[in-house]
Amino acid sequence: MKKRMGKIFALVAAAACMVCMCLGVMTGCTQGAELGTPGTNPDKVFRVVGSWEKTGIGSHYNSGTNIGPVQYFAIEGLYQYVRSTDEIYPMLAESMPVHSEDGSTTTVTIRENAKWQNGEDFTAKDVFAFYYLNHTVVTNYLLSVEAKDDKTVVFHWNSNRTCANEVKDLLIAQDMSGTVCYNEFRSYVDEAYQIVSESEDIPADSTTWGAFNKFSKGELLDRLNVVMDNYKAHKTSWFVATGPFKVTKESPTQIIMEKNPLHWNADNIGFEQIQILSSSDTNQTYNLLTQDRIDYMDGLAPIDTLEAILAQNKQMAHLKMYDPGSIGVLFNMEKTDLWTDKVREAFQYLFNREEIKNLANPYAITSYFPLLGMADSEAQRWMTEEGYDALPRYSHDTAKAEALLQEAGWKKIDGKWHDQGGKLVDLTIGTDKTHAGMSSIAVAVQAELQNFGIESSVKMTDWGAWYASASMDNSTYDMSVYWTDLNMSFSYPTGTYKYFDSLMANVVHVNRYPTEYEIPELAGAINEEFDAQGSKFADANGKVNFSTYVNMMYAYSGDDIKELVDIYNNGIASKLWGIQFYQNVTGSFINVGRIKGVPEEALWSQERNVATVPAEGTDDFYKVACTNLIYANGVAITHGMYQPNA
Amino acid sequence: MSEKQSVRSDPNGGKWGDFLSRAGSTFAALGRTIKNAFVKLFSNGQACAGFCIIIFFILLAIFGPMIFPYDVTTNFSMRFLPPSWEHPFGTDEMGRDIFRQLISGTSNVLQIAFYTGLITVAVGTLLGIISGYIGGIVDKVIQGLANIVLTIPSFPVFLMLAALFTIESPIELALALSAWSWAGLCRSVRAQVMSFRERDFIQICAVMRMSKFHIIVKELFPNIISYVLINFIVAVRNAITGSVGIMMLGLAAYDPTNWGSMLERARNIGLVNPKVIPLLLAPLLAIMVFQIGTVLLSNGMDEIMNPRLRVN
Amino acid sequence: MNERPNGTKSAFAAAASAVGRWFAAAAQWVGRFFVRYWFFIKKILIAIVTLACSTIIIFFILRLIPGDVVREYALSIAQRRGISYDAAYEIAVNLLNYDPEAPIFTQFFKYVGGLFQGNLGASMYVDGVTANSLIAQRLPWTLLITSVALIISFLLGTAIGAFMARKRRGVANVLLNGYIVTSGSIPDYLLGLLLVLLFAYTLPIFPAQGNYDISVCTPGFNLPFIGSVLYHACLPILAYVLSQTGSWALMMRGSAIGVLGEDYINAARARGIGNMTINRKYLKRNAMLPLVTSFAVTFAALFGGSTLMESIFNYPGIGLELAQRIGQKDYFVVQGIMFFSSFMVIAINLITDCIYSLIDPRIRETNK
Repeated sequence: MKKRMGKIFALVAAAACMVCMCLGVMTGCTQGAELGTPGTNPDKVFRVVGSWEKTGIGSHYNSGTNIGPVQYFAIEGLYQYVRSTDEIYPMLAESMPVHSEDGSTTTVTIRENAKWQNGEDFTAKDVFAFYYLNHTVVTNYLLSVEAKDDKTVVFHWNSNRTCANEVKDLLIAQDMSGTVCYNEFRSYVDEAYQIVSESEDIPADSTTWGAFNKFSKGELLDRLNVVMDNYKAHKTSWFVATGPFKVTKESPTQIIMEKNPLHWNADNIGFEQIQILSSSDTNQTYNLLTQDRIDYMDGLAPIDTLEAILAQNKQMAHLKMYDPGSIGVLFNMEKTDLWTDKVREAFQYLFNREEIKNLANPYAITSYFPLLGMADSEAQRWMTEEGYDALPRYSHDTAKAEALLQEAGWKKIDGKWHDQGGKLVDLTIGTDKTHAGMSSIAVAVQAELQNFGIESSVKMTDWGAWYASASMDNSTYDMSVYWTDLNMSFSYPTGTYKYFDSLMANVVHVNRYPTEYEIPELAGAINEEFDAQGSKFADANGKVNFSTYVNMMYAYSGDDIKELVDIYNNGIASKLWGIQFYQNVTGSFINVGRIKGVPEEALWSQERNVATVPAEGTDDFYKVACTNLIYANGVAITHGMYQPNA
Repeated sequence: MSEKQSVRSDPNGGKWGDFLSRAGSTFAALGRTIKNAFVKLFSNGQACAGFCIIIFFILLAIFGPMIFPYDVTTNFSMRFLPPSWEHPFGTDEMGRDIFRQLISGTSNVLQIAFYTGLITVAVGTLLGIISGYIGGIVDKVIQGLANIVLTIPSFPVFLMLAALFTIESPIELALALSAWSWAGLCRSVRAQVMSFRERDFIQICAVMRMSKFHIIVKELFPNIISYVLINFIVAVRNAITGSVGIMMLGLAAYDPTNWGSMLERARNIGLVNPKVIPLLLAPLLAIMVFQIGTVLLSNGMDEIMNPRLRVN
Repeated sequence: MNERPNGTKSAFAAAASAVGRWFAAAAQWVGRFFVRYWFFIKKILIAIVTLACSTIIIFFILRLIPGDVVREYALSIAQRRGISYDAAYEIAVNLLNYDPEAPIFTQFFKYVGGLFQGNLGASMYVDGVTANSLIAQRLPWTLLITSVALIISFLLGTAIGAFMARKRRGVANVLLNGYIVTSGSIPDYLLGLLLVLLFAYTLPIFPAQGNYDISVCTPGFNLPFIGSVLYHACLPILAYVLSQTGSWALMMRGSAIGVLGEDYINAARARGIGNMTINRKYLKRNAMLPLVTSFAVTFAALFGGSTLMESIFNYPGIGLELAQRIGQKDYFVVQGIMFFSSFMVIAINLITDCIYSLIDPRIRETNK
């Protein structure tokens, strides 16, 4: 018996050892050097984390290989726009584009010293090559791209597809036009150009969209597809790019890039080397930050983790910036019995949005709006003051919610809500589990519903499975937690509406025109009307249909665009399709000890976790957005804002 | 209880009484067997300790939530509180008590493990016995199936199955887990049965023209039951390792209080944050202690059945 | 079974006189070959059928996974390039090497056709990346870690097991038993996580990132590279060894106790052969034999990689690659890698079976 006891004791001891080992982890804490020590980055290295195609980055940007952070340092266009601020930086172009008086042409001058990484001159012909091989959005508004001389590109606009001059700039700035070297891809470019030229013109009265106002079909389309496939698969001896750094070493978990001395701004770029590390989960990424293995990372960490990172790495600062999107709840409007107007209104009052926002992202900006098709900061920018003030706002008021539910015929029996038919309400909430904010919201929403007396269950899957189930007909999901609006590209209106149209509208199950509608352009399009009494955009009934202007907004500017956005946002809000909980705020971690030139120095030298989000239109608003490499694609490095603290 | 009643009703005589008395004696025999089994079990220190640990967790799963009910209410200002009398393991990132979460998750973890063990053992043993005793084409088909299952690597298949089904209940996850675990058991049970088939007592039964069903249930099964029991415990252990692994990859987080989901949350929040360590350690320790219980029990039972393994 | 060669034999014996002696001899040789090696041929046929079934199962499970590949790819492109979703969708359609409209059976026959030519499947996202190239790039890293760990833990485990079987009392035995129970109770990936936490994060002794550091070395046959590889392999190997040694020790202990009770050991003792000799010559060898099968099975399973372990150490092995490709729904590559690992399991089992039956002809008889 004694022996047995001994054995059990040994087991307990072994277990205790493990516990001690773990406790050791708890107390462990790394120390960094004090902030502002000069010479902390003598090797002039900039280190980032990212994910890319581990088998190799391929040979050119348009092959489709995921090159990850290499894009920030090696890929350029004529211009670079900054997401969320729409600021435009000239890259390969010397200055901002020049628009002709009548708006029919735009001229871009390329920098004299713009060169490919292999030493060839970057010319207008290369821009021409890019557009004929990559039919990007801007080509829908173009008649042709002309290489006037070596360094001058002329864009000829289609008079049937007008767009405002500021939109033209943004459309051109959106393209990574420094990625097709004509001499390398000559055969494909010439053939694609020929095919496009031979294709039929789109008639002036048609609303069909096509690159260069052309419509390729039949044998021409087949030929075009073959050219495109071959172009995509084309292997080059060098990675076709113009950027300030080129890849010199690559392993499945690391990339090293060295400075490109031929770059047009080489004199102003202080860094000699870029190191890219990979990580297979967030836990590893956060450790790279605390252990001073990387100098920069975009995005946020959960609040306490963020503070722990800054506490353990004394050189790291964190800046915040707007994310042009909001997260909230989407109702499945297919369930007409469930989501009556009153019930949807009651749900607007039901949630403590402040608490939910805090749980998901304490730095975000609480929104009291219903789903309105645009994030708060963007609505403020693109709406008139009256229009913005007219938007409905909902406070946290459970008494009001109860009253509204009772008006809708719901009853609370034994602490549980039953619907107008006397059936116990049991909601199914779907969400994307890979998004930390959304999964937190889903859990918080379920808890608040439970405390309110509404039964619910949460289904978390990956994005694909969630979207497939949420958007199918007769979906089992009653509501979903997802972006209520999101802008992937520049902020000029329609970005969020079109994103809503392509994705969220299918989850909300808004009304659509039948797929065999007599007007082919409207077949399958959203058929929802907004009140527009007294507006010049209204139809005979004083209404505006969602689909009427959504593809044409680029044509309007100034007061017109504001009036349209007023109609759209107020119209969408009145539908109560969903709830906005908060406008997302994201950020960038930057090692301010190793890197000079980080904005908001007055703030981060006091408190390295800069909690304020710079207000729209301020100087910091533009500068901070540039620090985010995703937002500005390495402008901060290329334009020499960041310098090593050597 | 039922045993006593049936014995008392015996003097009333008649068919009914006879049946009851027979039932009673069967129960008595069963009771004796169980008692003997327990006496054997408690004679081995390892098995005894393991058994106690497992019983503790089962009681925790049943009565724990009644004593320490779990409140799902989130509270941002109460997040990551350090351990205290009110919150023995502190609170999580949403201000909920970790200790109560752990208890609330116990039943979920145990259900998955138990169902997986049950399905694995039921399917594996049944097919193993059929395959081993009946032989012929049935044997070939079953062994072929087992071979296929053993050939395909299980973890990637879990990944795919998890993407395929939105796993919503313990039984569904148990089905997915046992879909790939019965085959090994099936093979070894078959081998055992084949060795018994050649023994005298089975041969005699066959000569006496007893039905196959009778031979399998009455003669074969009792001889392999201890082996099956050990495999049940091993299957439970593997199910916990497997289910926690799946949840830690975030593939089936349908129950946020499941220990695996807690681990996943801790890892996602980032272990650089010292406040998150209780959220990592609490489920980790729970898993370890429970697994120690299963290891001790299965090792102990092994020793009971193979006396040569015994330490002294 | 026995009728068949007889049948051939007699049929050809009749023909022999007419056609010629050598033909009969050849037929006889073929017949005898079949009789003699029928066991192996049968094994190989079963293996082929098994492989075919597993290929079909994997193929169809993959197709059942819900989700729209194009849409998901478009979203990731939009995020990556900062362009609108609609524009990204068009790019995604052009970039994908996959026609979602193609009938499933056409896809299946194309896949099987490729298998016969040795093409396990090409990535639908990246040109030039195939299951073959991925296996060639990633598998060596997986095998490096796992096979080294397997060998170390096997040798260590059997030594411990044999020791525990001989000396069944004492503190050492109790401690070792404690280790076996503890290591058996903590899943290997959690042990890995704790090790990373301890030896890479809290005490940064070992790296927890990747397979080698290109900032200090260039891949090739040079010392810095080999050093870097070994340095990066330390922690994963340690995690595997810690978690696996216990089970080998337990198995060895059981087997060794069995051997110790055998008559020949007692006879050897009676003849006055020393404990050292008994231990070395009789005990270890005989007790290890049954473990060799487990060793082979474990080795075969290594070809699938270990997703969780590789993800915890961010080690670019086949398991991590496979998991990421499943996440991306890169169907063709996933089914290719899965086919390969099934193939390896079947092949290794087949080889072990054949070796066993060559050593021990009784197995051939019982398996008939």
